[in-house]
Amino acid sequence: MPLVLTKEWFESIREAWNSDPSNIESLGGASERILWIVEELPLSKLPPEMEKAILEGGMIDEALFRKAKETDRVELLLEWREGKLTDFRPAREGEEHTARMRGKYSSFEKIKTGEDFLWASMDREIEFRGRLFEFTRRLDGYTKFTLILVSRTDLV
Amino acid sequence: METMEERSAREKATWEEWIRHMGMDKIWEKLSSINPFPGQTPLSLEIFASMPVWRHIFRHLGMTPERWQRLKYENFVEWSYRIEQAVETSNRLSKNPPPREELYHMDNLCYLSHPPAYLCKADVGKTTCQMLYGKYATVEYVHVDDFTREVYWILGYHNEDGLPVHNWLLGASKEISQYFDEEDEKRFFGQMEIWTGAPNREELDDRLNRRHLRTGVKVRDVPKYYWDPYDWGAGVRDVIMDMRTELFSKWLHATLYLSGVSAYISTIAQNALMSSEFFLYVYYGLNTAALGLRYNLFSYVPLPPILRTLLSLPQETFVKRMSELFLGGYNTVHKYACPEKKIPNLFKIRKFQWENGQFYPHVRGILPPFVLARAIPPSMEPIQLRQYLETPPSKEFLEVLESEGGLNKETGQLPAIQETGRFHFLFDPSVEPLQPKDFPLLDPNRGQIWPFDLTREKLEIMVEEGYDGSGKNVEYYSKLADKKMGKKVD
Repeated sequence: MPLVLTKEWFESIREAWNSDPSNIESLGGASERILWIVEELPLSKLPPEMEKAILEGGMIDEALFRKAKETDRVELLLEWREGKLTDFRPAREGEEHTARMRGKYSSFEKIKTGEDFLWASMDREIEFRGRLFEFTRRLDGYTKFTLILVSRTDLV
Repeated sequence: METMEERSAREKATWEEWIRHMGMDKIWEKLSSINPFPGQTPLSLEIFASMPVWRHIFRHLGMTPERWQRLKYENFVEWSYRIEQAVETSNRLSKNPPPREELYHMDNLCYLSHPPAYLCKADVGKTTCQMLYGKYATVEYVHVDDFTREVYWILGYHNEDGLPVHNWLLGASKEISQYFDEEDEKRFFGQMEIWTGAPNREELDDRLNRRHLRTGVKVRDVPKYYWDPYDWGAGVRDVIMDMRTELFSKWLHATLYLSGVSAYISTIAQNALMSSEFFLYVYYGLNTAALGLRYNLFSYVPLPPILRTLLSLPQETFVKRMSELFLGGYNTVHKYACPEKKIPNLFKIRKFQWENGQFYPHVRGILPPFVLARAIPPSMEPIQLRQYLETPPSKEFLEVLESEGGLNKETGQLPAIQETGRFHFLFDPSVEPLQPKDFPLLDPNRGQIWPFDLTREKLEIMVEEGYDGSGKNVEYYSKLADKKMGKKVD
């Protein structure tokens, strides 16, 4: 069964992050709310049983899911407190955040190291909007999160 | 009163703290593929945050310690031969002025001494050179390694009545003289009439060990003690004055100008694809406030007064005025003086720029000169839009400035890079970039010349009508294209 946007998916990513102290350390005890936008995520190609599983999980309401499916774009909200991922869910419209990350799913898939993440962001494949010094200090953390996100995402 | 040494130490510490605060040190650590000496921090590392194509070029070249030394040599030798070519071109044209239709022919344009990094018309160059430096001037360029902070070559030339007449290689480290071939040896070891060099490699290297009478600092080590490129020039000036009396006495009547620049910065400036791009770099190099930097990237000691006046203009006006002044309002694709065999890395740079454009990967294609003049760089400090633009932005451009640059429309202020994380330049999106396939085939040893107001449509018409990029009849083809595009032509 493909795994994306389901309750299981959100929980497994949160758990994977929090269970490894090196992840928490990589963010240097940061607290922030980041809007993480994934584009060209092939939601429109998901099979009906997968859609059902996503909607039944209740993490995302139907209207928001339909919109995400139409645009193949999903907006996720991550809240880190002292490096721990305390909240990870679909973002609600107009929700406040301290920084924004935006990129195609294929761009996130290419990330293997912090150097890859830096090149991708400098080349605007992944666009960061926020305070530069926070970005540079948290780069390793963002890289680790990307690796978890991609490894836990299963698309048809 | 603070001494120059104390001030330099303070400014260096401030810069290092600022780099750490901005997180630029962390960025540099991760840019290992462009760093020939991993673990070492170069001068001006923050420029890599805002020069996208140069990050890619250095990665494309593969920056090993050997490549770094070779690149330093190639820049040195290309610089030297440009000077020689300029002496020959100026001599030829002063005896036989070209007909009107060949005024802007690429064979009649040369790299004069302001520095030899952009092409200009020899006759205009003569007047402007006098305007910049005066009737008699010797200009020596002091090049500094970004990693060792050592001076590795000092080379320049003497101008009489605004034209270069004699070349003076004062010093060169063995790191670069190891690459000298027979042709180089003939010039740099003092066997040619228009060259003053040294008898051998040892002497060229040893001259960099001359010490300042007061401070005792070797010429080679000056940038280790003085922070800003302006101070490098000030630090070596007395020693070079003495050496001029000893070694270059024929031209003692001239004003001596020194210019300080690092290897990365000079590579970028000397290898700019186009003249308008070079003028943009001059603006940033000497007017670093436009990038939000607190020190010079390039220096003249003393600074020619006219440059101070020009640099107070907005960026767009500066680029346009410089293009008018030196190239009659045209824009050149720069040519190399040396063949590919001698400078293979510089040829790779040119190929990469030509195929990908000056702001790859943010822009795919070659940006027309008038768009480049209106580029909005990422700035390290908050800055006013009027620093860059002469006339208000188009509706589309304004939208980009607001959405991507965070422009405050009420105040005209653009926020700093640390507030937005914006690494990229902003350009007017209403103008289409040019594609290399639309141009005639580029010969890197010949270059090309095009009107400053070149658009994709104008380029297509000019090529269709038979213009070959050489400069022959460029005025005619430019006007013809304007007419076909429905523009009013004089």
